[in-house]
Amino acid sequence: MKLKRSQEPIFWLLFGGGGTLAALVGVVLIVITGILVPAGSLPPDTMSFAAMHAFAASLFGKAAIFLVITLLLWHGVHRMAATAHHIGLASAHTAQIVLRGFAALATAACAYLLVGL
Amino acid sequence: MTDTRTIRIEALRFNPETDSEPRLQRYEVPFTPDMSVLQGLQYIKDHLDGSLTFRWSCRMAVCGSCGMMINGRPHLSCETFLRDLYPGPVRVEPLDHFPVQRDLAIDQAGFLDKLAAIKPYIVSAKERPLSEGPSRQTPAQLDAYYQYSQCINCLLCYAACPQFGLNPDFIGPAALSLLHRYNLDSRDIGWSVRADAANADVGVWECTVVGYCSEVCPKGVDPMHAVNENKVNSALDYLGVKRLLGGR
Ligand code: FES
Repeated sequence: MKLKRSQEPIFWLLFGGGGTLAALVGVVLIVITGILVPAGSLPPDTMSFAAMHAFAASLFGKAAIFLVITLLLWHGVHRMAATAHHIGLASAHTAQIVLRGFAALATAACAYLLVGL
Repeated sequence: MTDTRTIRIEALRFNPETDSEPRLQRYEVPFTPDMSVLQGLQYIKDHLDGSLTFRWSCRMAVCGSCGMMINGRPHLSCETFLRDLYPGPVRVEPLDHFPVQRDLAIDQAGFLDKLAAIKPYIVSAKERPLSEGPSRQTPAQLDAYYQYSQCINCLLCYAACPQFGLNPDFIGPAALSLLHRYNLDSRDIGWSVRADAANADVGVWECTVVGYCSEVCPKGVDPMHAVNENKVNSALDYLGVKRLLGGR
């Protein structure tokens, strides 16, 4: 048998990291940003531009935003690529390349925007 | 006998040398409550149609040769009872995803190559002279690999695995479970011996955690768990920290 080393561990580690983070903070973020703030259950300036800008400009804020956006994205594209493969799409491999390319570009864009803040 | 009933068995017939495509053949089979699907097939072979081809040996879920699709699910035919499938019909077909040799008998050659690739035997650090007596293991050391050692190579898990269906080169659930079984054995050197098979693109990384393999295993082996433990091992190996973090 010919055995060629897989490069999959990189993407699997990103997928796993994203899954862990999604489980830890994903739901909390949805509840805060999607329900509590719009419903007015939290102080009105919780997500004001000034507060958000200050958070995103701090080192901790930059790191948190970068990790949450990019790792969850890598997690998501991994799942979508697996789904394409599971339903037997003939173009599943192409879909995987496109999805990972998108995640890579978005990761770069996220880093660029956060560094410039 | 009063408790003899009749059930219809529909068997897939295919001879790759003469047939252009497979067909289903129907047999009316008298059965008693103690009869398995395998015994139903043996009745057909003895009394109705001697040309029906299928494999069996132990008749007690030990040898692993009688696996087939029964009503679309992979089962050992010797431990599936006709009484439970009454009133039928019972459809029997060769295990999914394998080339057919004849009727219900599949070609296992590909699996045997994979089995060889994972080195399914104990590789010890140094030759042990007979004078040292048997190697001893604690109950905990035995527990570490025991469930994986129960595999009987019946290949039901390959018939269940959609990834093997898409890529016949995938080393697959049973062989990867056995890879884990020997890696976990305290008498074996462990990971390094079988790392190339686990790390390969046809190794653990082909699995997408569907888990049907673990559901159909007749011996309580959990191949999905074995494969995913080894995704962790393979990822640590990829990063070069397997020795540091992953133990043996
Ligand atoms: S005949 Fe041996 S496992 Fe069924």
